[in-house]
Amino acid sequence: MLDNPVSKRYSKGRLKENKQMSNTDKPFRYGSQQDRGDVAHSVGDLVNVASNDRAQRQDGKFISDHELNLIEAHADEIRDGLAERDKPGNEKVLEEVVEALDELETSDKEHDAKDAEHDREIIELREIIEVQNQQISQLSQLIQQLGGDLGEGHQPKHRAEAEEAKSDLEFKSGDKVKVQRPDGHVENGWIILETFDDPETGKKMIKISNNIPDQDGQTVNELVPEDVLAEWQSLKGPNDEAYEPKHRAQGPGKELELWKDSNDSDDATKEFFKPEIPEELSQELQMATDKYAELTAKHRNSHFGHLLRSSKFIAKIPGMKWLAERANDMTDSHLDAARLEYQEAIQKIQSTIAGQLELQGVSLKEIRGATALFGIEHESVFEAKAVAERTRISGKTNKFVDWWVHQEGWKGKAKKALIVGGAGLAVGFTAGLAIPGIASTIAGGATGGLIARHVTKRRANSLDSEGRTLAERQSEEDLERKLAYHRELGEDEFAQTSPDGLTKVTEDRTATEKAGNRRRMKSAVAVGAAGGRLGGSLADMISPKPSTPEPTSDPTNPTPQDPTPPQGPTGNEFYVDPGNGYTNELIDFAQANGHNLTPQQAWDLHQNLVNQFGSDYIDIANKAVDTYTQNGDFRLVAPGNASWDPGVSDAIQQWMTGQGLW
Amino acid sequence: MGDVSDQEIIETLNFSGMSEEIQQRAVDAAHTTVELRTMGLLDEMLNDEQAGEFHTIKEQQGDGPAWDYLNRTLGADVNDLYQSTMRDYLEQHKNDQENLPF
Repeated sequence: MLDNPVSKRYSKGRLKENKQMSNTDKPFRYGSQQDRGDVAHSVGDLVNVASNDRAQRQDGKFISDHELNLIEAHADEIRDGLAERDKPGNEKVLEEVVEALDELETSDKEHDAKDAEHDREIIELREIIEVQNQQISQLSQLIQQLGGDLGEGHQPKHRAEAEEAKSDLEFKSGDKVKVQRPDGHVENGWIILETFDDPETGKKMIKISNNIPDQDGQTVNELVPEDVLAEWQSLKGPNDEAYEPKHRAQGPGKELELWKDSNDSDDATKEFFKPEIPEELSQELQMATDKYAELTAKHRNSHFGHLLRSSKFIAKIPGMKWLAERANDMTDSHLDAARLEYQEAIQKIQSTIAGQLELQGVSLKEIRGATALFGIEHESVFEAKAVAERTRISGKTNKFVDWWVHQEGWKGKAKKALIVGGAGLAVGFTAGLAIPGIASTIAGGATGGLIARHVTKRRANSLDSEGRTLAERQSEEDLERKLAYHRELGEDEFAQTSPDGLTKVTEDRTATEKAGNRRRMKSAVAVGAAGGRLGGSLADMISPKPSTPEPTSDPTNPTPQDPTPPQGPTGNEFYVDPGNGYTNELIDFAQANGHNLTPQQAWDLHQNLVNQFGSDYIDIANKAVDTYTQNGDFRLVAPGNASWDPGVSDAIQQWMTGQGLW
Repeated sequence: MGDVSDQEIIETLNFSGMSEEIQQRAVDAAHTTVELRTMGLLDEMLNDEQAGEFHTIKEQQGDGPAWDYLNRTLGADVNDLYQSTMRDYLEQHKNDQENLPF
C-alpha cells in the first residue's frame, strides 16, 4: 500500500468526527476553513486545490466537505485503486474479483447451509465419541465392582488399565485416611467429610474429621486445599513397581499428607476386568442411535408416537388422550425398522458384555443388572439426541428446552436427573450450540454419582481465568460470530450502494475478520472487491479514467497482450476459529484464493508442509507455542489472529499447483 | 395415583439387591429419560401461539406463573404428566432383564 504520512495524521480524527456526525444524520462540515484547506492539501496528489484552498474535481467542480472527508480518510485506498486501475491488465482482474464476489453472494445461502450442517456434524461426532468413551468407562467401573470378587491372582490386563484405575482414585466423602503432619507424625482414624470447590479460590477443598472427640467432646475437623495434600496409594504396576502419589504436596513445610487408609483402599487393590467392546459394534450402535433419533424427531407425529403408541398411563391423562389416539393411528415402517436396528445394536453389545462377564464367573443376576443398566443408560443418550434433533428442527423448541433445564426442578427430581444425564444431553444440545446454557447448568450443579463426578472434572478442567466454562466460552464466541456476520452483511450492503459504507468497512475490518472461516474469507474478498470498486469509483470521480482504444480485431496485427502479473496467494493473515485445526485453515486458505481442497487433500498438504517446515508452521498471535500434539496429531493451541510462517503460503500454492488444484 | 418412588423404580427395573451405586445409576437414568420425554411432550403440545404466550408470561411474570400457564393451558398437570411418563417408562422396561438374549 502506498504510504502518505500526512493523510494518516489526519485520518483517525476525521473518521471519528465523521462517525459522530453521521450518527446524528447531519452533513459533515469542517470546523474552519483552515481545517478544510489543510485536508485538501494533504490529498493534493488526488484532487486539485483551488486558490481558495478548496478541493476540486478535475472537471472543476468543488468537492463537498463530506466527499473530501471520505477521500482523506481513504486516501491510501484511492491511491491504490488508481495505481491498480492504471496497471495494464488489472482492470480485468478487478472485474474478475467482482464477478467472483457476486458468485459467492449468489451461493451464500447454499454454502451457509452446508457449513452449518458440516459444523453440526463435526461437533456432534466429537460429543458422541466423548459420550461413548465415557459410557464405556463408566461401564468398566461398574463391572470392576462386579469383578471385585474374582479371586486372587487375577492381574490387571494392561498397564494402561492400571494407570486408568489409578487416575480414578481420588478423595471422596467417607474415605478413611491417615494424616501425616509436616513433622512426620502419622495420625490414624481420620475420615473425609466432604470435598468441594472453593468458589473464591477455585481450589478443590477437602474437609477431614478425626472422629475422635477432644477434651471438649468435639471432633476435630480440618479444611485443607487438595493441592497441599499428598495421597498415598498402594497401587502397583504390572511389574510390581510403585506409583507416585497422586497428589503431591506443593511446597515444603506447610502441607499435610493425606493417606488413604490401607483398610479402605479397596479401589486401589481391586482387580480389574474391562469389557472389550468391538469397534464395529460401538459404531453400529452409534449409527443406529443416530438414525432412530433422527427419524423419531423428524416428524412431529412420530415424536408423539415414539412416546404414546404403547402408553398405558400418559394416555389416561385427559389432555393427552387425543394425542395418544393419534399416535396409535400412525404407522411408520421406517421408524419401526430403525427402532429394531437400535434395539439389535444394544443387544449385541449387551451380549458381548455378558459373554465376557460370564467367562469371569460373574453371577447371572449381576450380568443381567450390568447389561440392563447399559441399555437404560444408553436410552437417555438416545432420548437426548431425539430432543436435540427436535431442537434443531423446531425453532421454538430452543426457548422452551432452555427454560426447562434452567428450572430448579420440581419435587427434587428434575434437576438431578438432568445433571446426571448431562453426558447424554451434551450429545445433542451442545451440537450446533443450540442451547449453550445447558452444559453449564449440568456442570454447575453436579453432585454425587460417577457421571456427575466426571462432569465436575470436566467443568474444572474447562474453566478459564474468568471463571467461564467451555460451553459459555463457545456460546460467546458463537454469538460474536453471528454479530460479526450481521455486521458484515450490513457492511457489504452499504459498501455496494453508498460511499458511507466504505467508512464502516474500514473501521470494522478487524471485527469482520472474526467471522466464520469461509465467511471470513468471503468477507476479505468482499471487502477487497468493494473497496476496489469504491476506490475506483472515488478515483473516477476525482480523476476520470481516460478512454482506452478498442482492441484491434485484425489477426494479422494483434494487440500484444500484457502478461498477467503473477498472482501470489492471498489470505496469509487470518483468524483461527475455535476448534479449527490445520486442515480447516488450509481449506479456508485455498478457498480464499478461489480453489478447493477436500479434507483428504488438505491432510496430504498438511503432511507435506510438516515435512518442509516442521509441525509448527503457523504463527498465532500472542502465543509463544502455536501447536501441541494429541494422539500423534498436531493441533492448534487456541483461536486467534494468525498467519502462516514465511514461505508457507508459497509452498501451499506450489503443492496445489503440482497437484493440479491451483 | 401417587408419585413414583425411587424404590419403586429400583424394584420394577429389577435392581433390588444390587449395590447402591448401581441402583442410583438406574434411578438417575430413568429420571433422565423420563424428564427428556416429558419436556419433549410439553414442547410438542404447545402450538406457536401458546409458546409465544408462555414465553411472554415467563418473561413478564416469572417461572411460577409460567408453570401455572402450562398446567392450565395443556389441560394436564405437569407433574401428572411426568409421573405417567415414568410409569410408562417402567412398564416399558420392567421385563428388560428377563428379555435379555442370554
